[in-house]
Amino acid sequence: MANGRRVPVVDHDSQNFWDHLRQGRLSIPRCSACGLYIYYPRSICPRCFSNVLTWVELSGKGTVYSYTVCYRSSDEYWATKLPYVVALIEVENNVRMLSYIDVEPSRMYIGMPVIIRFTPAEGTVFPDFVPISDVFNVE
Amino acid sequence: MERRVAIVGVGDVELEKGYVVGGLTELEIQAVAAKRALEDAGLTHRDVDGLFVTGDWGLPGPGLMMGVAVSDYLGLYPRYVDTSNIGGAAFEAMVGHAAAAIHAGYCQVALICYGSIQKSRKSRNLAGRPPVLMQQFETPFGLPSPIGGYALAATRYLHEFGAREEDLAEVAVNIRRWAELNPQATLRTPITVEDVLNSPMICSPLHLLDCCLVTDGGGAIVLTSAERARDCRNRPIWILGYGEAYDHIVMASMHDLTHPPAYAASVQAFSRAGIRPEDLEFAEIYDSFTITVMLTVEALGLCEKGQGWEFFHNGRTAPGGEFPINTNGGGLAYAHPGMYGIFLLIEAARQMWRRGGVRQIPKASLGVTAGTGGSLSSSAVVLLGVD
Repeated sequence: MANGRRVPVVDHDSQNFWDHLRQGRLSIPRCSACGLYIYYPRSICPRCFSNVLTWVELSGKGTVYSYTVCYRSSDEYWATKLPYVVALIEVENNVRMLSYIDVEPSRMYIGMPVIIRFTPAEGTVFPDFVPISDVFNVE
Repeated sequence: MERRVAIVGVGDVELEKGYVVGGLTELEIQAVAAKRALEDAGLTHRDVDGLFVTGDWGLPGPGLMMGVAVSDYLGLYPRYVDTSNIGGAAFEAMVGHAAAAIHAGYCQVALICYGSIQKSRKSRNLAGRPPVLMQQFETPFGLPSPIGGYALAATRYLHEFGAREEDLAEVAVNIRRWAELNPQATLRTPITVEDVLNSPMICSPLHLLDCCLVTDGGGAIVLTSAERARDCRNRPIWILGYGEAYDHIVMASMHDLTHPPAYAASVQAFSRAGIRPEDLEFAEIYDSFTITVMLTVEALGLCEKGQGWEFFHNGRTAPGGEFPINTNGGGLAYAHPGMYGIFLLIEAARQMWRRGGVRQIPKASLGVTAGTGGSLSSSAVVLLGVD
């Protein structure tokens, strides 16, 4: 599709991740030996090298560790969204995800509480984020 | 490693407004630079038995066997080849690898060369890599590459240490003052902090003038053993210490955005050399972005962690300042052909041989080159000294 968001090339490592997103769940592998929550999904624990992993569900709540407001892009899709926010988000259990935050850029700050928003597009579902105050009334 | 292997020759090619003069190919550029570097050393291509080559020009033509392709083109028959690609720090890494190979006796005369015509080819963009393997967790979310990763680090740095965009801008202002003195530099007009802040924002907090150039370019370096160096034209520039280190390929894997792998690389380099950061007289530091330099001065121990933002104030690293950094104008103002690291070494060598002309620094007997690759992904640090 022209001007569409680039779609992940799903592979054996990532199949569960994207399948679960389509079911409205954020899940990642967890090491059965040392307990590490592993993101991005992969087949071996980068801490203890165990390959016994179990998929676990996360709440999708997190806080912004860092972010950037993008004013330029060579990507056909993102060039239509300028300016937009990309952030590193601390999700629970020391998991850090890079994602798009759908927010007015001037509202951004480090430490902002955010929550996952399942964004259907291009036949998949993207784990985007929004400020938690946009979803729950936390005045 | 101390005083066993030395840089004995360097060469590069002329640029005009960032374009290589004469419409040369990547291979021609490397041939010109290699010929100049070997003549500079007083050696010939028949002396070369180690070849160190990297880049991305092999595709779609000869492929990824770029060491073999250059070997063919230049008529070399090396017995040791290294095509390590760790991003822009690769050439600092290759100095370390060449030094180890020469010390071990696997080769005697090592040629490192590089050529890029990315500006002529218009091959550069911000779109990010295809969303395959781990890139499927980065590219679909719109992170421009590589600037987006550096911007994330810069935002975090400013937050943690109370620094401002103005402090990042000082890095660019100081480095531009060196470019004013370099006839080969692409951008030679003086700039102010306001100019940087008024240049278009690309990825906050990085403005256009916080970013390196996109140019063509090529260079070559010749290294040899202490024994062979005695017969070369130049005073040997000793590889006193070396370290390399790796961190992440995607930004979500970078544990601490203000702690790049340059820390681990520096520790190795200084301990092997037996010198301290305060002994250094100048530095050539990979300046893909202003934040790269700020993080690297801290990682090298030139100042405490969190104080790098003050390091560049009052022209301290500019011409006439107490600690010269990026004396050719750097990737921000001289040239940046995609993998800049070889130019850190070439400029350090020229300063140490006192060929700097109007930009010659007074003290240049002990210096450091610090390369950074990817998105703060890799680092290689080389400590250099002349007797």
